Amino acid sequence: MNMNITMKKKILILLFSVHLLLIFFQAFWTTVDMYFDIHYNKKIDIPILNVFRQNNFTEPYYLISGINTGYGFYGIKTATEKYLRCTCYDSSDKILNQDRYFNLKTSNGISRLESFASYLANYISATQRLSELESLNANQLKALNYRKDYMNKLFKWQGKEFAKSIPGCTSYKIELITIVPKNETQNKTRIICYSRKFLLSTIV
Amino acid sequence: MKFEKDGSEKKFLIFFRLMVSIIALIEIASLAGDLSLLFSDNSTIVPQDLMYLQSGYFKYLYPFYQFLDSYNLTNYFYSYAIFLYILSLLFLLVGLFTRYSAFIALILQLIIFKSFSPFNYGYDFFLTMSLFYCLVFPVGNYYSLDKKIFKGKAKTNLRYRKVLQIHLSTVYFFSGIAKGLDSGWWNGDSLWRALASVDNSFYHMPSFILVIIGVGTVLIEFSYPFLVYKKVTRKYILTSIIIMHLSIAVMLDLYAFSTIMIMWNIAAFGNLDSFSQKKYIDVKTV
Repeated sequence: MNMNITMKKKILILLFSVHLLLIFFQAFWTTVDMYFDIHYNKKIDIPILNVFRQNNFTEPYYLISGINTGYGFYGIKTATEKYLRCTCYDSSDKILNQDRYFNLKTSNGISRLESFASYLANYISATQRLSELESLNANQLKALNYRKDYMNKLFKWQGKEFAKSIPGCTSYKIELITIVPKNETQNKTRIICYSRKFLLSTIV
Repeated sequence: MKFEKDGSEKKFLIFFRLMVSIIALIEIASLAGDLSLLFSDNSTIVPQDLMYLQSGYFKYLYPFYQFLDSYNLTNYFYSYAIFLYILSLLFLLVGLFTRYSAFIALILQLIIFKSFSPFNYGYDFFLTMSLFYCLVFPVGNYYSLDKKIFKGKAKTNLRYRKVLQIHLSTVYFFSGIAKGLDSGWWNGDSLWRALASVDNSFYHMPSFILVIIGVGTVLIEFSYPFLVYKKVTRKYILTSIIIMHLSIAVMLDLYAFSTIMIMWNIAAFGNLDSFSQKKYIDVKTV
Protein backbone atom coordinates (compact mmCIF):
# COMPACT_ATOMS: atom_id res chain seq x y z
CA MET A 1 0.00 0.00 0.00
CA ASN A 2 2.72 2.43 1.04
CA MET A 3 4.74 1.41 -1.97
CA ASN A 4 1.78 2.25 -4.21
CA ILE A 5 1.50 5.69 -2.63
CA THR A 6 5.21 6.31 -3.02
CA MET A 7 5.11 5.19 -6.63
CA LYS A 8 2.05 7.37 -7.34
CA LYS A 9 3.82 10.30 -5.74
CA LYS A 10 6.95 9.72 -7.82
CA ILE A 11 4.89 9.55 -11.02
CA LEU A 12 3.06 12.77 -10.11
CA ILE A 13 6.34 14.55 -9.38
CA LEU A 14 7.70 13.38 -12.73
CA LEU A 15 4.59 14.55 -14.60
CA PHE A 16 4.53 17.95 -12.91
CA SER A 17 8.26 18.37 -13.56
CA VAL A 18 7.71 17.72 -17.28
CA HIS A 19 4.71 20.09 -17.24
CA LEU A 20 6.79 22.87 -15.66
CA LEU A 21 9.65 22.18 -18.05
CA LEU A 22 7.29 22.67 -21.01
CA ILE A 23 6.05 25.95 -19.50
CA PHE A 24 9.62 27.15 -19.02
CA PHE A 25 10.53 26.09 -22.54
CA GLN A 26 7.47 27.70 -24.13
CA ALA A 27 8.11 30.96 -22.25
CA PHE A 28 11.79 30.93 -23.22
CA TRP A 29 11.08 30.06 -26.84
CA THR A 30 8.35 32.65 -27.42
CA THR A 31 10.51 35.40 -25.89
CA VAL A 32 13.58 34.55 -28.00
CA ASP A 33 11.46 33.96 -31.11
CA MET A 34 9.69 37.30 -30.78
CA TYR A 35 12.97 39.13 -30.13
CA PHE A 36 14.64 37.75 -33.27
CA ASP A 37 11.50 38.20 -35.33
CA ILE A 38 11.14 41.88 -34.41
CA HIS A 39 14.80 42.95 -34.28
CA TYR A 40 16.31 40.77 -37.04
CA ASN A 41 13.21 39.80 -39.03
CA LYS A 42 14.10 36.13 -38.92
CA LYS A 43 12.91 32.95 -37.26
CA ILE A 44 15.43 30.91 -35.32
CA ASP A 45 15.50 27.18 -35.74
CA ILE A 46 17.28 24.88 -33.30
CA PRO A 47 16.35 21.31 -34.33
CA ILE A 48 17.01 19.70 -30.95
CA LEU A 49 14.64 22.14 -29.24
CA ASN A 50 11.86 21.38 -31.72
CA VAL A 51 11.13 18.23 -29.72
CA PHE A 52 9.67 20.39 -26.94
CA ARG A 53 8.00 22.90 -29.21
CA GLN A 54 4.33 22.72 -30.00
CA ASN A 55 4.41 19.94 -32.59
CA ASN A 56 2.03 17.17 -33.61
CA PHE A 57 2.95 15.10 -30.55
CA THR A 58 2.98 17.79 -27.88
CA GLU A 59 0.23 20.04 -29.27
CA PRO A 60 -2.81 18.34 -27.63
CA TYR A 61 -1.19 18.67 -24.22
CA TYR A 62 -0.21 22.29 -24.84
CA LEU A 63 -3.77 23.14 -25.90
CA ILE A 64 -5.68 21.35 -23.16
CA SER A 65 -3.43 22.63 -20.39
CA GLY A 66 -3.54 26.19 -21.77
CA ILE A 67 0.26 26.52 -21.76
CA ASN A 68 0.40 27.23 -25.51
CA THR A 69 1.10 30.89 -24.82
CA GLY A 70 4.01 33.20 -24.16
CA TYR A 71 4.11 35.61 -21.25
CA GLY A 72 5.63 38.72 -22.80
CA PHE A 73 2.55 40.82 -22.07
CA TYR A 74 3.06 44.21 -23.73
CA GLY A 75 6.72 43.17 -23.89
CA ILE A 76 8.89 43.52 -26.95
CA LYS A 77 7.70 46.31 -29.26
CA THR A 78 4.56 47.23 -27.36
CA ALA A 79 1.57 47.66 -29.62
CA THR A 80 -0.71 50.66 -29.34
CA GLU A 81 -4.47 50.53 -29.06
CA LYS A 82 -6.32 49.43 -32.17
CA TYR A 83 -9.98 49.79 -32.88
CA LEU A 84 -12.45 49.21 -35.68
CA ARG A 85 -14.90 51.78 -36.98
CA CYS A 86 -17.89 51.24 -39.18
CA THR A 87 -19.44 54.07 -41.17
CA CYS A 88 -22.83 53.50 -42.78
CA TYR A 89 -23.95 55.36 -45.92
CA ASP A 90 -27.23 55.74 -47.75
CA SER A 91 -27.65 55.51 -51.54
CA SER A 92 -26.46 59.13 -52.00
CA ASP A 93 -23.29 58.44 -49.95
CA LYS A 94 -24.52 60.46 -47.00
CA ILE A 95 -23.26 59.24 -43.62
CA LEU A 96 -26.08 57.70 -41.61
CA ASN A 97 -24.18 56.36 -38.66
CA GLN A 98 -20.70 55.77 -37.32
CA ASP A 99 -19.91 53.22 -34.63
CA ARG A 100 -17.02 51.45 -32.92
CA TYR A 101 -18.80 48.79 -30.92
CA PHE A 102 -20.74 46.71 -33.48
CA ASN A 103 -23.72 46.19 -31.16
CA LEU A 104 -21.49 44.93 -28.33
CA LYS A 105 -22.79 46.29 -25.02
CA THR A 106 -20.73 44.88 -22.18
CA SER A 107 -17.33 46.16 -21.12
CA ASN A 108 -16.05 42.59 -21.37
CA GLY A 109 -17.29 42.29 -24.97
CA ILE A 110 -15.80 45.66 -25.92
CA SER A 111 -12.42 44.69 -24.41
CA ARG A 112 -12.52 41.52 -26.48
CA LEU A 113 -13.31 43.55 -29.61
CA GLU A 114 -10.05 45.42 -29.00
CA SER A 115 -8.22 42.06 -28.98
CA PHE A 116 -9.86 41.30 -32.33
CA ALA A 117 -8.68 44.64 -33.75
CA SER A 118 -5.12 43.83 -32.62
CA TYR A 119 -5.43 40.38 -34.18
CA LEU A 120 -6.47 41.96 -37.49
CA ALA A 121 -3.60 44.46 -37.34
CA ASN A 122 -1.08 41.66 -36.75
CA TYR A 123 -2.62 39.62 -39.57
CA ILE A 124 -2.40 42.57 -41.97
CA SER A 125 1.20 43.19 -40.94
CA ALA A 126 2.20 39.54 -41.48
CA THR A 127 0.43 39.52 -44.86
CA GLN A 128 2.22 42.71 -45.81
CA ARG A 129 5.57 41.19 -44.90
CA LEU A 130 4.80 38.14 -47.02
CA SER A 131 3.86 40.29 -50.00
CA GLU A 132 7.12 42.25 -49.69
CA LEU A 133 9.31 39.18 -50.17
CA GLU A 134 11.48 39.52 -53.26
CA SER A 135 10.33 36.30 -54.87
CA LEU A 136 7.41 34.11 -53.94
CA ASN A 137 7.21 30.39 -54.68
CA ALA A 138 3.89 28.79 -55.64
CA ASN A 139 3.01 27.91 -52.04
CA GLN A 140 3.81 31.38 -50.75
CA LEU A 141 1.75 32.95 -53.52
CA LYS A 142 -1.15 30.67 -52.64
CA ALA A 143 -0.77 31.57 -48.98
CA LEU A 144 -0.65 35.26 -49.80
CA ASN A 145 -3.84 35.11 -51.86
CA TYR A 146 -5.53 33.07 -49.17
CA ARG A 147 -4.55 35.58 -46.48
CA LYS A 148 -5.79 38.53 -48.55
CA ASP A 149 -9.07 36.76 -49.21
CA TYR A 150 -9.49 35.84 -45.55
CA MET A 151 -8.74 39.39 -44.45
CA ASN A 152 -11.21 40.79 -46.93
CA LYS A 153 -13.93 38.42 -45.73
CA LEU A 154 -13.31 39.27 -42.07
CA PHE A 155 -13.63 43.00 -42.71
CA LYS A 156 -16.64 42.51 -44.95
CA TRP A 157 -18.50 40.47 -42.37
CA GLN A 158 -17.39 42.62 -39.47
CA GLY A 159 -19.68 45.49 -40.46
CA LYS A 160 -22.45 43.54 -42.12
CA GLU A 161 -24.70 42.83 -39.13
CA PHE A 162 -24.31 46.36 -37.83
CA ALA A 163 -24.95 47.95 -41.25
CA LYS A 164 -28.04 45.77 -41.72
CA SER A 165 -29.50 47.19 -38.51
CA ILE A 166 -29.27 50.78 -39.83
CA PRO A 167 -32.40 51.72 -41.85
CA GLY A 168 -31.63 53.03 -45.33
CA CYS A 169 -28.02 51.83 -45.29
CA THR A 170 -26.81 50.69 -48.70
CA SER A 171 -23.07 50.59 -48.14
CA TYR A 172 -20.61 50.73 -45.27
CA LYS A 173 -16.94 51.37 -44.69
CA ILE A 174 -14.79 49.47 -42.22
CA GLU A 175 -11.63 51.06 -40.88
CA LEU A 176 -8.95 49.66 -38.64
CA ILE A 177 -7.43 52.53 -36.72
CA THR A 178 -4.39 52.67 -34.48
CA ILE A 179 -2.99 55.30 -32.15
CA VAL A 180 0.60 56.46 -32.48
CA PRO A 181 2.65 59.09 -30.63
CA LYS A 182 2.47 62.45 -32.39
CA ASN A 183 5.52 64.18 -30.93
CA GLU A 184 7.80 64.39 -27.90
CA THR A 185 5.04 65.92 -25.80
CA GLN A 186 3.31 62.57 -26.18
CA ASN A 187 0.17 63.77 -27.79
CA LYS A 188 -1.53 61.07 -29.76
CA THR A 189 -2.69 60.88 -33.29
CA ARG A 190 -4.59 58.25 -35.22
CA ILE A 191 -3.55 56.31 -38.27
CA ILE A 192 -5.89 54.31 -40.42
CA CYS A 193 -4.26 50.92 -41.04
CA TYR A 194 -6.95 49.54 -43.28
CA SER A 195 -10.03 50.99 -44.87
CA ARG A 196 -12.45 49.40 -47.25
CA LYS A 197 -15.96 50.18 -48.39
CA PHE A 198 -18.50 47.43 -49.09
CA LEU A 199 -21.93 47.47 -50.69
CA LEU A 200 -24.42 45.89 -48.31
CA SER A 201 -26.20 44.05 -51.13
CA THR A 202 -23.03 42.29 -52.33
CA ILE A 203 -22.36 40.41 -49.11
CA VAL A 204 -22.17 36.69 -49.79
CA MET B 1 12.29 21.08 -6.98
CA LYS B 2 10.84 19.87 -3.72
CA PHE B 3 7.24 18.79 -3.78
CA GLU B 4 7.11 17.61 -0.19
CA LYS B 5 3.99 18.85 1.60
CA ASP B 6 4.40 21.77 3.96
CA GLY B 7 1.00 22.02 5.64
CA SER B 8 -0.55 24.61 3.29
CA GLU B 9 -2.00 22.16 0.74
CA LYS B 10 -5.49 21.95 2.20
CA LYS B 11 -6.04 25.70 2.34
CA PHE B 12 -4.50 26.13 -1.10
CA LEU B 13 -6.69 23.47 -2.73
CA ILE B 14 -9.90 24.87 -1.22
CA PHE B 15 -9.03 28.48 -2.07
CA PHE B 16 -7.99 27.63 -5.62
CA ARG B 17 -11.13 25.63 -6.45
CA LEU B 18 -13.52 28.22 -5.02
CA MET B 19 -11.81 31.20 -6.62
CA VAL B 20 -11.38 29.66 -10.08
CA SER B 21 -15.06 28.72 -10.27
CA ILE B 22 -16.25 32.07 -8.87
CA ILE B 23 -14.07 34.10 -11.27
CA ALA B 24 -15.13 31.99 -14.27
CA LEU B 25 -18.80 32.35 -13.31
CA ILE B 26 -18.55 36.12 -12.89
CA GLU B 27 -16.67 36.47 -16.17
CA ILE B 28 -19.21 34.51 -18.22
CA ALA B 29 -22.03 36.45 -16.52
CA SER B 30 -20.33 39.72 -17.43
CA LEU B 31 -20.25 38.63 -21.07
CA ALA B 32 -23.86 37.37 -21.13
CA GLY B 33 -25.26 40.40 -22.99
CA ASP B 34 -22.81 39.94 -25.86
CA LEU B 35 -22.33 36.22 -25.96
CA SER B 36 -24.63 35.65 -28.93
CA LEU B 37 -22.45 38.03 -30.98
CA LEU B 38 -19.41 35.88 -30.23
CA PHE B 39 -20.76 32.37 -29.87
CA SER B 40 -23.94 31.34 -31.68
CA ASP B 41 -25.16 29.58 -34.76
CA ASN B 42 -25.99 32.53 -36.99
CA SER B 43 -25.79 35.88 -35.20
CA THR B 44 -22.08 36.28 -34.49
CA ILE B 45 -20.25 39.48 -35.54
CA VAL B 46 -18.14 37.39 -37.92
CA PRO B 47 -19.25 33.87 -38.97
CA GLN B 48 -18.15 31.42 -36.30
CA ASP B 49 -16.00 29.26 -38.58
CA LEU B 50 -14.12 32.33 -39.86
CA MET B 51 -13.26 33.17 -36.26
CA TYR B 52 -11.39 29.96 -35.54
CA LEU B 53 -10.24 29.24 -39.11
CA GLN B 54 -6.74 30.63 -38.54
CA SER B 55 -6.32 29.49 -34.96
CA GLY B 56 -4.38 26.49 -33.72
CA TYR B 57 -7.70 25.00 -32.60
CA PHE B 58 -9.10 24.70 -36.12
CA LYS B 59 -8.10 21.08 -36.62
CA TYR B 60 -10.02 20.12 -33.47
CA LEU B 61 -12.98 22.48 -33.71
CA TYR B 62 -13.75 21.96 -37.39
CA PRO B 63 -14.33 18.17 -37.13
CA PHE B 64 -16.31 18.77 -33.96
CA TYR B 65 -18.68 21.23 -35.64
CA GLN B 66 -18.84 18.98 -38.73
CA PHE B 67 -19.90 16.12 -36.48
CA LEU B 68 -22.60 18.28 -34.88
CA ASP B 69 -23.78 19.37 -38.32
CA SER B 70 -24.01 15.83 -39.64
CA TYR B 71 -26.37 14.90 -36.80
CA ASN B 72 -28.27 18.21 -36.82
CA LEU B 73 -27.05 18.93 -33.32
CA THR B 74 -25.48 22.35 -33.94
CA ASN B 75 -28.52 24.31 -32.71
CA TYR B 76 -28.77 22.19 -29.57
CA PHE B 77 -25.09 22.62 -28.90
CA TYR B 78 -25.22 26.41 -29.13
CA SER B 79 -28.36 26.44 -26.98
CA TYR B 80 -26.99 24.26 -24.19
CA ALA B 81 -23.19 24.68 -24.23
CA ILE B 82 -23.20 27.84 -22.10
CA PHE B 83 -25.75 26.38 -19.70
CA LEU B 84 -23.66 23.22 -19.30
CA TYR B 85 -20.51 25.28 -18.82
CA ILE B 86 -22.14 27.31 -16.05
CA LEU B 87 -23.55 24.14 -14.48
CA SER B 88 -20.15 22.44 -14.47
CA LEU B 89 -18.63 25.56 -12.84
CA LEU B 90 -21.34 25.48 -10.16
CA PHE B 91 -20.60 21.79 -9.54
CA LEU B 92 -16.91 22.66 -9.29
CA LEU B 93 -17.70 25.46 -6.86
CA VAL B 94 -19.57 23.20 -4.44
CA GLY B 95 -17.21 20.30 -5.09
CA LEU B 96 -19.73 17.85 -6.51
CA PHE B 97 -18.18 15.25 -8.83
CA THR B 98 -15.31 17.69 -8.72
CA ARG B 99 -12.87 16.10 -11.12
CA TYR B 100 -15.55 15.36 -13.73
CA SER B 101 -16.94 18.90 -13.33
CA ALA B 102 -13.48 20.37 -13.80
CA PHE B 103 -12.96 18.23 -16.90
CA ILE B 104 -16.30 19.22 -18.45
CA ALA B 105 -15.75 22.90 -17.58
CA LEU B 106 -12.27 22.76 -19.14
CA ILE B 107 -13.45 21.12 -22.38
CA LEU B 108 -16.45 23.45 -22.72
CA GLN B 109 -14.32 26.51 -21.92
CA LEU B 110 -11.93 25.49 -24.69
CA ILE B 111 -14.71 24.81 -27.21
CA ILE B 112 -16.72 27.94 -26.40
CA PHE B 113 -13.92 30.48 -26.06
CA LYS B 114 -11.63 29.12 -28.77
CA SER B 115 -14.57 29.24 -31.18
CA PHE B 116 -13.99 33.00 -31.11
CA SER B 117 -10.24 32.86 -30.58
CA PRO B 118 -9.34 36.22 -32.20
CA PHE B 119 -11.45 37.78 -29.41
CA ASN B 120 -9.42 35.96 -26.73
CA TYR B 121 -6.84 37.54 -24.48
CA GLY B 122 -4.58 36.59 -21.55
CA TYR B 123 -7.46 35.85 -19.20
CA ASP B 124 -8.73 33.00 -21.38
CA PHE B 125 -5.36 31.23 -21.31
CA PHE B 126 -5.07 31.63 -17.55
CA LEU B 127 -8.59 30.30 -17.07
CA THR B 128 -7.74 27.24 -19.20
CA MET B 129 -4.63 26.69 -17.06
CA SER B 130 -6.65 27.17 -13.86
CA LEU B 131 -9.31 24.67 -14.90
CA PHE B 132 -6.58 22.25 -15.96
CA TYR B 133 -5.06 22.53 -12.48
CA CYS B 134 -8.51 21.97 -10.95
CA LEU B 135 -8.60 18.77 -13.00
CA VAL B 136 -5.18 17.44 -12.02
CA PHE B 137 -4.99 18.70 -8.42
CA PRO B 138 -7.21 16.97 -5.83
CA VAL B 139 -9.22 20.18 -5.30
CA GLY B 140 -12.33 18.23 -4.31
CA ASN B 141 -10.67 16.55 -1.34
CA TYR B 142 -11.69 19.18 1.18
CA TYR B 143 -14.69 21.35 1.93
CA SER B 144 -16.70 19.74 -0.85
CA LEU B 145 -19.95 17.86 -1.34
CA ASP B 146 -17.90 14.96 -2.69
CA LYS B 147 -16.27 14.65 0.70
CA LYS B 148 -19.60 14.80 2.47
CA ILE B 149 -21.41 12.36 0.19
CA PHE B 150 -18.71 9.82 -0.60
CA LYS B 151 -16.85 10.14 2.73
CA GLY B 152 -13.51 9.09 1.27
CA LYS B 153 -10.36 9.61 3.24
CA ALA B 154 -8.65 12.77 2.04
CA LYS B 155 -5.04 12.24 1.06
CA THR B 156 -2.79 15.05 -0.04
CA ASN B 157 0.69 13.69 -0.30
CA LEU B 158 2.11 16.33 -2.52
CA ARG B 159 2.74 20.05 -2.36
CA TYR B 160 0.58 21.00 -5.33
CA ARG B 161 0.98 24.66 -4.45
CA LYS B 162 4.60 24.37 -5.56
CA VAL B 163 3.48 23.75 -9.18
CA LEU B 164 1.55 27.02 -9.21
CA GLN B 165 4.44 28.84 -7.52
CA ILE B 166 6.97 27.74 -10.17
CA HIS B 167 4.50 28.42 -12.98
CA LEU B 168 3.82 31.94 -11.73
CA SER B 169 7.51 32.68 -11.18
CA THR B 170 8.21 31.58 -14.78
CA VAL B 171 5.42 33.84 -16.05
CA TYR B 172 6.76 36.99 -14.38
CA PHE B 173 10.43 36.19 -15.01
CA PHE B 174 9.92 35.92 -18.78
CA SER B 175 7.49 38.81 -18.85
CA GLY B 176 10.21 40.89 -17.13
CA ILE B 177 12.86 39.68 -19.59
CA ALA B 178 10.65 40.45 -22.61
CA LYS B 179 10.04 43.98 -21.33
CA GLY B 180 13.67 44.46 -20.35
CA LEU B 181 14.78 43.61 -23.90
CA ASP B 182 12.72 46.50 -25.24
CA SER B 183 14.28 49.93 -24.86
CA GLY B 184 10.77 51.41 -24.73
CA TRP B 185 10.24 50.05 -21.23
CA TRP B 186 13.32 51.96 -20.02
CA ASN B 187 12.33 55.34 -21.48
CA GLY B 188 8.58 55.37 -20.87
CA ASP B 189 7.63 54.92 -24.53
CA SER B 190 6.24 51.37 -24.17
CA LEU B 191 4.17 52.31 -21.15
CA TRP B 192 2.76 55.24 -23.10
CA ARG B 193 1.94 52.88 -25.96
CA ALA B 194 0.24 50.43 -23.62
CA LEU B 195 -1.84 53.15 -21.97
CA ALA B 196 -2.68 55.44 -24.90
CA SER B 197 -6.36 55.21 -25.65
CA VAL B 198 -9.11 57.17 -27.35
CA ASP B 199 -11.32 56.49 -24.33
CA ASN B 200 -9.24 57.79 -21.44
CA SER B 201 -6.26 59.97 -20.64
CA PHE B 202 -4.24 57.78 -18.26
CA TYR B 203 -1.37 58.02 -20.74
CA HIS B 204 -1.21 61.76 -20.26
CA MET B 205 1.37 61.98 -17.49
CA PRO B 206 4.83 63.54 -17.19
CA SER B 207 7.57 61.61 -18.98
CA PHE B 208 9.55 60.92 -15.82
CA ILE B 209 6.52 59.22 -14.24
CA LEU B 210 6.19 57.00 -17.33
CA VAL B 211 9.90 56.13 -17.02
CA ILE B 212 9.63 55.33 -13.30
CA ILE B 213 6.55 53.14 -13.75
CA GLY B 214 8.03 51.43 -16.83
CA VAL B 215 11.37 50.63 -15.17
CA GLY B 216 9.53 49.65 -11.98
CA THR B 217 7.36 47.19 -13.89
CA VAL B 218 10.41 45.55 -15.52
CA LEU B 219 12.22 45.24 -12.18
CA ILE B 220 9.19 43.94 -10.26
CA GLU B 221 8.44 41.26 -12.86
CA PHE B 222 12.05 40.22 -13.39
CA SER B 223 12.89 40.02 -9.69
CA TYR B 224 9.61 38.32 -8.71
CA PRO B 225 10.97 34.73 -8.59
CA PHE B 226 14.00 35.85 -6.55
CA LEU B 227 12.14 37.97 -4.01
CA VAL B 228 8.93 36.00 -3.57
CA TYR B 229 10.68 32.95 -2.13
CA LYS B 230 12.37 34.98 0.62
CA LYS B 231 10.09 35.50 3.56
CA VAL B 232 11.51 38.99 4.25
CA THR B 233 10.73 40.33 0.77
CA ARG B 234 7.64 38.27 -0.07
CA LYS B 235 5.01 40.68 1.21
CA TYR B 236 6.65 43.63 -0.57
CA ILE B 237 6.87 41.93 -3.95
CA LEU B 238 3.36 40.49 -3.61
CA THR B 239 1.96 43.91 -2.70
CA SER B 240 3.79 45.49 -5.65
CA ILE B 241 2.55 42.92 -8.12
CA ILE B 242 -1.03 43.18 -6.84
CA ILE B 243 -0.89 46.99 -7.17
CA MET B 244 0.43 46.50 -10.72
CA HIS B 245 -2.51 44.24 -11.58
CA LEU B 246 -5.02 46.61 -9.99
CA SER B 247 -3.57 49.41 -12.15
CA ILE B 248 -3.89 47.19 -15.23
CA ALA B 249 -7.53 46.56 -14.33
CA VAL B 250 -8.33 50.25 -14.00
CA MET B 251 -6.19 51.68 -16.80
CA LEU B 252 -6.57 48.97 -19.45
CA ASP B 253 -10.04 47.72 -18.48
CA LEU B 254 -8.67 44.18 -18.14
CA TYR B 255 -10.65 43.31 -15.01
CA ALA B 256 -10.94 39.56 -15.49
CA PHE B 257 -7.27 39.17 -16.37
CA SER B 258 -6.16 41.20 -13.36
CA THR B 259 -8.49 39.31 -11.03
CA ILE B 260 -7.26 35.91 -12.08
CA MET B 261 -3.62 37.03 -11.80
CA ILE B 262 -4.17 38.43 -8.31
CA MET B 263 -5.92 35.20 -7.36
CA TRP B 264 -2.97 33.14 -8.65
CA ASN B 265 -0.57 35.28 -6.60
CA ILE B 266 -2.58 34.85 -3.42
CA ALA B 267 -3.11 31.13 -4.05
CA ALA B 268 0.58 30.54 -4.76
CA PHE B 269 2.30 32.77 -2.22
CA GLY B 270 -0.33 34.48 -0.08
CA ASN B 271 -0.91 33.76 3.55
CA LEU B 272 -3.98 31.54 3.46
CA ASP B 273 -4.04 30.93 7.21
CA SER B 274 -6.75 33.49 7.77
CA PHE B 275 -8.85 31.53 5.31
CA SER B 276 -8.55 28.33 7.35
CA GLN B 277 -9.12 27.54 11.04
CA LYS B 278 -12.34 29.38 11.85
CA LYS B 279 -13.47 30.46 8.42
CA TYR B 280 -14.06 27.07 6.80
CA ILE B 281 -15.43 23.85 8.13
CA ASP B 282 -13.49 20.76 7.29
CA VAL B 283 -16.14 18.26 6.27
CA LYS B 284 -14.12 15.53 7.94
CA THR B 285 -14.91 17.07 11.30
CA VAL B 286 -18.62 17.55 10.66
